Amino acid sequence: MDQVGLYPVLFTSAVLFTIGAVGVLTRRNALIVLMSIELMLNAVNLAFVGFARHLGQVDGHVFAVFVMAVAAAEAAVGLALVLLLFRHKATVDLENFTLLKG
Amino acid sequence: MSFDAGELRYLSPEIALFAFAMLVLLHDVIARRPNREVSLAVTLMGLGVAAVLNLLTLQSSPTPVLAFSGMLAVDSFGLFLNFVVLLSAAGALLIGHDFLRRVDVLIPEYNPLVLFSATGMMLLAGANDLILLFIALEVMSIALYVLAGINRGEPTAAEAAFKYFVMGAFASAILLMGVALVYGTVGSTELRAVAQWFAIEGNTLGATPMLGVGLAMLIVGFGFKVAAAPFHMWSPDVYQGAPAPVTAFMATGVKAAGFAALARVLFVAFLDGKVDWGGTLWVMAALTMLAGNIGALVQKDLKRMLAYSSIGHAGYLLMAVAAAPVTGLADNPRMGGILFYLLAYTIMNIGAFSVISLFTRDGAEDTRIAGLAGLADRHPLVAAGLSVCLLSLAGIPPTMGFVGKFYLFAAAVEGGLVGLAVVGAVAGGIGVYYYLRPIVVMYMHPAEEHPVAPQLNRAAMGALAVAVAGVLLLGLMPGPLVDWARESLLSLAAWSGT
Repeated sequence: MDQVGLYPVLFTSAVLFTIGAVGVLTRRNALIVLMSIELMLNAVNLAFVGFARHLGQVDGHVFAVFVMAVAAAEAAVGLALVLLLFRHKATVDLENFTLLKG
Repeated sequence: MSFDAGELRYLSPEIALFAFAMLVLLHDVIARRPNREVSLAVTLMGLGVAAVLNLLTLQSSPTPVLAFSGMLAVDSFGLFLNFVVLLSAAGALLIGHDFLRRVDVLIPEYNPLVLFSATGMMLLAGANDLILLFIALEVMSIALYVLAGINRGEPTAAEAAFKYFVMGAFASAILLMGVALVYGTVGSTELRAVAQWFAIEGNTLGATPMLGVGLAMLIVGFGFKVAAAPFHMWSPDVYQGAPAPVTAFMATGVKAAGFAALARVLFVAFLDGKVDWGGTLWVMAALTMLAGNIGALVQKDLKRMLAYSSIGHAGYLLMAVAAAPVTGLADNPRMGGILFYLLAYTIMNIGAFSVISLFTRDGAEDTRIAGLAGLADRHPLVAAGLSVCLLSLAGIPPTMGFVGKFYLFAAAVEGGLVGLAVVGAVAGGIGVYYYLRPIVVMYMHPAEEHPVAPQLNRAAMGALAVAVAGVLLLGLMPGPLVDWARESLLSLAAWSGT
């Protein structure tokens, strides 16, 4: 099997990360925002794994597992907060949550 | 690589805190009718035990030690900040005890969550490896997301919690990408390994743009966490919407731990002539000081005003950090002001929030500045206490805030950043105006027709009394603490060799 080089992996990771970041900043649906954050974290995982293979180390693979564990905990709390928002306004559209304004 | 169980003693404060958190959690599950007083007492005992263990660690390791294969740095820098974190947690618990009863949030998980978050903060202060740093950051933040939304019935709290979550998670992801890029370039996430990588001939930031992007992402991630401009937009909303005791904890503990990690990363890994991040921080510090202090001018809500003030204070701290690449750590004795100021900021903010937490009416917070009118006649001591804390935040002598600010400005001037110090002085001058406004309202305005009665309680009053005493005593006699802060900051130089 042909080896995939480091740069295609990094490029994919950068694209995923950008899609995630743009999603967090522009999407107005709380659930899609959550998914975008997960996408960003997974882009980082891809980068970690790509670097680890390039460097011939195990460390980066282990980091990816750590990040997955943290992402799971974060998603649990995030979904609970979305549920909380939904119970107040019966919607998860962030346009409707504007009580706090400067 | 080997694991030495004896090294666990370096983690004893964190382990104790975590164990006590589990204990309190269990008590609340097992006891048929959880007793809030017992829960608070055990939680505070946990903080006390952690503080004692921290002191023992400090005494038993006079020279900085690396534990767990370089993951954790045991130096007086981290241990100093552990004390600040413990103080901040104690404040949050004392302020929250009666407050949560009044707003009808009888959730026993409050105390353990504060302890869990504090555990993360302490690990963050000692993290010598970017991966431990990320995990500690998340341990701290995830507990705080829950705390921010702990008042489930309040729509503003839910909104604040979600905003905090989205911004926090977004910042963490950016920071983590920075970690990945540093790892990819250097081949290690240990901070000293990064410094050693720079020591090799030909390894510069210009030659490897990937590391530069990584460093920039780390700075952006930390910028979000400590609410530095231009990444501060979320913090006024979140600080206003979250319950007062949680806001106090977020403002003080997160700031202390966040600055600890930022300073450690920049000072240990990147304090090298080949990397110039001083200019970036110069701009960030100037923007942060101005954005915070100008934004606070027009606020009508105390919590929101203190949120902008908190942004301003992050700016003063960044100003001192920005001076480090110019002078190095060892040649700038004023640099210890960063640690001194983090402690001072924690004490005076806990004092201010202990008063703010008193203002509830019918189970909801009422933190309008106008609501303070006539407080000086009704409760002269409370008004005096809040005044002392606000004057200290404004940096007026003879308070702790003045001494701290003096050292931060001195550090900047010593580093040749006179222009930045002038910006800071202007911002600080603006700051005096809005800090004085609540005092004027308290002492000179007649009370409203149906004034909010402050709900005095022993726990919050105790916190206020300790804070006021600390602000004044350490303001008048800062000598020993200043020396300790300077030595603690210098312990970082042991790692970077500058």
